[in-house]
Amino acid sequence: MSVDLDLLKTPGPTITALTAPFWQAASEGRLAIQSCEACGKAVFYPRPICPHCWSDRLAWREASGGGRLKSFSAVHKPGHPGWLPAVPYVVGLVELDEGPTMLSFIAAGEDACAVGQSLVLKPTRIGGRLLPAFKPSAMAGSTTPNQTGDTLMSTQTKDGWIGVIKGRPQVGAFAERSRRTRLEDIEAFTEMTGDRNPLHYDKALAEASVFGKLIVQGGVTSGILNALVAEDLPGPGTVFLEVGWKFVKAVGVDEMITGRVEIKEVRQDKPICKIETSVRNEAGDICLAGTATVFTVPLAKA
Amino acid sequence: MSLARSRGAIAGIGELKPTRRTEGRTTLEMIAEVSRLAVFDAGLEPGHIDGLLVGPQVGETPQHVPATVAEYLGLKPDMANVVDLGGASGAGMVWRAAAAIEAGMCEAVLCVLANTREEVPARSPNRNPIREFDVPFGASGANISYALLMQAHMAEHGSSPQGFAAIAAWARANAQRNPDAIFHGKPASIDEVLASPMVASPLHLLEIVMPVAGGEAVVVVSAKRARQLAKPAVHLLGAGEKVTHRAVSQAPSLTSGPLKPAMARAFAQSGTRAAEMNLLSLYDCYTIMVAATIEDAGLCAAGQFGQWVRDHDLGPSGDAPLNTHGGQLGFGQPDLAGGMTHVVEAVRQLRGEATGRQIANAKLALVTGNGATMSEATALVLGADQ
Ligand SMILES: [Zn+2]
Repeated sequence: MSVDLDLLKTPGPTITALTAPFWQAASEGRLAIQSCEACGKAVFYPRPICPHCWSDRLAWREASGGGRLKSFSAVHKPGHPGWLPAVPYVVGLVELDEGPTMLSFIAAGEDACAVGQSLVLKPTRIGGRLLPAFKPSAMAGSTTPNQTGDTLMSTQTKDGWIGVIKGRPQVGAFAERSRRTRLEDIEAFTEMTGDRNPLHYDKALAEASVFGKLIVQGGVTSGILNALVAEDLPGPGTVFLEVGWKFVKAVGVDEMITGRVEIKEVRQDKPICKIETSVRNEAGDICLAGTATVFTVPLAKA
Repeated sequence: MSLARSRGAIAGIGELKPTRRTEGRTTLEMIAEVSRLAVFDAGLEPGHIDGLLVGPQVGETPQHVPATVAEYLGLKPDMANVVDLGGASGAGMVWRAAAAIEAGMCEAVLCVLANTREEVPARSPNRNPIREFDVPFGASGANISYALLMQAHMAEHGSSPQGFAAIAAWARANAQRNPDAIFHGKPASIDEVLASPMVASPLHLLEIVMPVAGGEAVVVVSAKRARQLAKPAVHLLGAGEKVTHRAVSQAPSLTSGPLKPAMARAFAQSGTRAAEMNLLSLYDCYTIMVAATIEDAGLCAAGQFGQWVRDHDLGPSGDAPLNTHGGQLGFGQPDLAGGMTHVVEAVRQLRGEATGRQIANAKLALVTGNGATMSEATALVLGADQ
């Protein structure tokens, strides 16, 4: 086909926070799929629980990019008009080396396809985005106008995340953690820091203030983010290098707060990432919002 | 107080903590989480769940909701349904689950409802896995999915395009005896089918149903009541159901479908065999669907449907009457009512009312239904009143 696939007006993916790591990898010319840490099986498409054993311990892994063509079709009458300039084009069912099957674009003519043949990942620009397409591996080395992924694949630098317990996080990955604030939090924080602000202790005074209630120290609110980065994402070994936080709304005693971190940028050469951080109260109102840079010390025993 | 006989029991429960917002999450994710809680609470494993009841529109998917949820959860239920009774859906699920178990259709039913809540509702209601992982690669709609099934059958068994085309030609031939059929007066030969435009290789235009408007309905009563009514009773002797996936990429097999276990259950419940059927009323959205069903029913060995079709006369006076109304390939497909045409034709034949195409002495009929991409299957064995 002579048409430039990148210029097609085809529908793109409907990405959610859960599936974002797949599409982030795709945009970098890589194929990332989930792997179940309980039963060891590979999972595609992305889910919050493993469809084999229902464990919720799913980790993102780089797929080999190899597969087998289970079936294919040359599409003459596409289901979406955006594909019309490209007909006939080939779609196929690709059984990945890891086990699961995905549907993909096959960057080859119908005559070059045969059920059972080996395929390799061939990131291809379609409709303005880089997608994980495949091509017959016998064609490896040949070039087509859409070959942009191969160069991206080869420009990988040294992996700065080796030895990090939970590995390199994916852009778009997020974690949440909730806890209920208690009067004891205020006392523990005072014990630690000496902060005896009457807003935290004098109920009458606090209720008459702009806050209208006893409030916990800001450190109690932001503390949930310390737990999040150290326990969940990027995980054990993580420390803050820099934070930029706005305390938008005060948190009272006996309030359920939910902290959230989301990976925005990941450095390849060093275990450093930029994250978006927030803490919300039970009503969903933002109490703390901002960004931070974190460093994750490699603690995994070789 | 004396208790009535138990009609079923609730063995596990799950509940998600309410939140005001679920920004960026999908209903399917929430369903997965709460289902996990309930099944593990019961001390069961996911593999024990063989029935599934869900609410409408979950998973941001307008159709095939149970299949979408089942695939997402890795379940392959023997009974699946949407319960759409608003606030009564939850309670409505419980007795339906018990009834399905009592009917011998399944043993453990997951009843699940969940919802998301976003400040700005999603721009597109369709956010299911097919929309996200198939459509961007150029695969939209059922034609491509069935083309992939057909290609796989040809590769695995060496089946010929002529074999598939013969099924379409038979449908057109039978439609000539049904004045209501959309292709009445328009027969098509095997060569004409193969000469029709390629839609998605190896699938030709005339191997695909023609969409039409229409409607079909039946009334179900007890066997006792049926015998008191105006028309000869047609009895449900056995049924089977199976849902294995939603997207073609997730199909456990591309050449054999969920109708295989569904028909096996229907035959077992009715004490019948495929070869005993006087009418095969087989769901035929595409020629490949009939081919796979003939093989899955055990009428011939896997891969041998082409020979089977050549060896038999599929007309009303033949030795293997198949879709005497013309099937949907000859009659037209009135959307979801298309599947019901196979039930209505079976009733006509078993009552002896199929004027102009009556099968002599029709006693037993196999009716199949199929949804999505050989994903959702129901089989019925119907019998004439003796
Ligand atoms: Zn697992």
